[in-house]
Amino acid sequence: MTFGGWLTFILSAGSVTVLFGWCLWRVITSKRGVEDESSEGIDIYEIQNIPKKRK
Amino acid sequence: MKGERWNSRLGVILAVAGSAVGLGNFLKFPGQVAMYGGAAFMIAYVLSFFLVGIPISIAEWTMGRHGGANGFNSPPGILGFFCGSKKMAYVGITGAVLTVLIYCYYIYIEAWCLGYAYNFAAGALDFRTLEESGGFFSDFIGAAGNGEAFGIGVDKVLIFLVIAFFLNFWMIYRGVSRGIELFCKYAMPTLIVLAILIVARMMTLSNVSPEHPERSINQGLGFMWNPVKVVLEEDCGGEWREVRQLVGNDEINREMERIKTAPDSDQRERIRSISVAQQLMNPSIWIAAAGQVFFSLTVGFGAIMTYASYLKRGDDIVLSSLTSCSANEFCEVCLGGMITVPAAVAFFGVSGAIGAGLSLFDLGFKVLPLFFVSMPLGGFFGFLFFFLLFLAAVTSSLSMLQPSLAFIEEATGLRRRFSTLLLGLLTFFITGFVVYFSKGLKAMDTLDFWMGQVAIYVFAMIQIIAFSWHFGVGKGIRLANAGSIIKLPAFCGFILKYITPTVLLAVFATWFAKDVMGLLGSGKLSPYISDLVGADGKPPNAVALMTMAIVVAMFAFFALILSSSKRYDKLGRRKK
Repeated sequence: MTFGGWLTFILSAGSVTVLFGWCLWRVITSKRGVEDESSEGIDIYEIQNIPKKRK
Repeated sequence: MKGERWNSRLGVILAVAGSAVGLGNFLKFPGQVAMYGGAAFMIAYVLSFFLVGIPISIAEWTMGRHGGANGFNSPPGILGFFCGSKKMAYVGITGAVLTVLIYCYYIYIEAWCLGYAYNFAAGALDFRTLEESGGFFSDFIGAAGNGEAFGIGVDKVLIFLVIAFFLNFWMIYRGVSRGIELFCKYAMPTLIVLAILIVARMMTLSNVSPEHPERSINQGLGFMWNPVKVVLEEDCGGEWREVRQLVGNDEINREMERIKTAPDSDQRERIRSISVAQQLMNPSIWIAAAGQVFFSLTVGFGAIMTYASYLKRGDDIVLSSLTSCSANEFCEVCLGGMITVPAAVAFFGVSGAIGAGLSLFDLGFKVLPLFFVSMPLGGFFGFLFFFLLFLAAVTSSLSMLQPSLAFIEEATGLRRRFSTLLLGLLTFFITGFVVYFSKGLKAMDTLDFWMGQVAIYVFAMIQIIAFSWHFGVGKGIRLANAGSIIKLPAFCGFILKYITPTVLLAVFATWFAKDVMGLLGSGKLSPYISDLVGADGKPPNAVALMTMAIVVAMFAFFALILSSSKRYDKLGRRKK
């Protein structure tokens, strides 16, 4: 494999490993997401015949 | 089953990643990288990942969580609810039908993996040549004639098919958290550990072909990843045609020497370097990269939206989506990219590996078994590899059953026991049809083309348009961000609304015009079309026609269930 080949491989594999590692770290260390104000104003659609979900 | 939920955030991420990680990661991706050149392919691949893969994935997660929070878990229910239209629920049937039909042939391939794993563990495989390896494969899957796959014995696929079939149904019968999540929580880490073990063994292999010292794993890696492709070309009546790729200075120098010394050879043959920029000018590379990302991430199937529907209203989706996508990429690039093609090249050399075939089935079930048989401790590593493929396949096939199971339960109100039984009977007969017509794998190929390629593209486009244009990209992003640990930046709206649908449409249109209708390139009509309409004086293929009849019947059956269900009647009259 040429130097360019190694560079391509290391950049490709390295970037997906870093991305995956960062995501996994955030998932493990973050507290559960909570509904925030940004969701307000969105119509929370309700189907009338599902009483459990009715607000 | 009503009120089903995932047990943990990591559980749902592993389940979605499991649905994405499949045979394509380990068998198709390396072949594509090798064929199109490492750096050029990866540039197109990374762009496709961010412009097509991630956006559709986030749209699916968002629609799924929103539908689930309001009592809908199936693609018809979720899409109908999201668009506020019962007509869109009918469109959503595509997601339930295509996943269940893909399952009906995917389970057949899953059984091959299990069968090969067993036969390696039992030490029953002993090949000397590619012909012997191919012969075993052909006998094992019953490719020689229709009905040949139904033999009993460990050298036939049937017994492994039964085991795989029941394992899948046992898991979905147990439910989302006690079945799918539990299985994926153990299977995914196991799969990654097995892959790392195999990669470590591959990287420490030396002297794979003693009679050909130039062949090595390093040469195989170079064949995949070298950015500049060096090719040998020959003159065919004034037009230069690529003969093969040259890898390594030794081979390039040897060929240069041969061309120089052979009489008149320099006029008939030449060696040419193709830069990354030149490679990127080839539209095929973009179609291949976008297709690989798209199919590899399992976006557009309706499986992700079904899984996401079991989240709670305030659960994170942006980070979860990104994590599951990056887990798939890790398995594909770091693990899949290190095993199959380097092994094939180390054993056969570049031209031998290309000659043997870089397609998914050739590489996985003919070339690699021969490689494992020939290497030290090959039985053990062969077992590990095919067991890894089996785990990857099961985590994917589970996600193919859940959308239709959710639909049956949602539309009919059937309890899990009866819905599983109904789905089991449906898939039993269709899988039986696919396996019976094993000659040339005609039924499987037809289903794969129409459901596994065309229908997925179409359904993905419907989803992204429903999300970005019908629902509204601004509202969609706010909905995605609600509860999410990381937030989508504002520019994602532009990508979701304009870039993703355009790229998807362009790739689909080019692929359809070039490879299906033959309007560009070769000018030949796809065999999948000529199978249905007949061509060159040949009548339509009966197996292909029967397969399409099954597809139509499945759509009609699911549409009948939907029309007779009162569950979706108020979709068009919801309170806003």
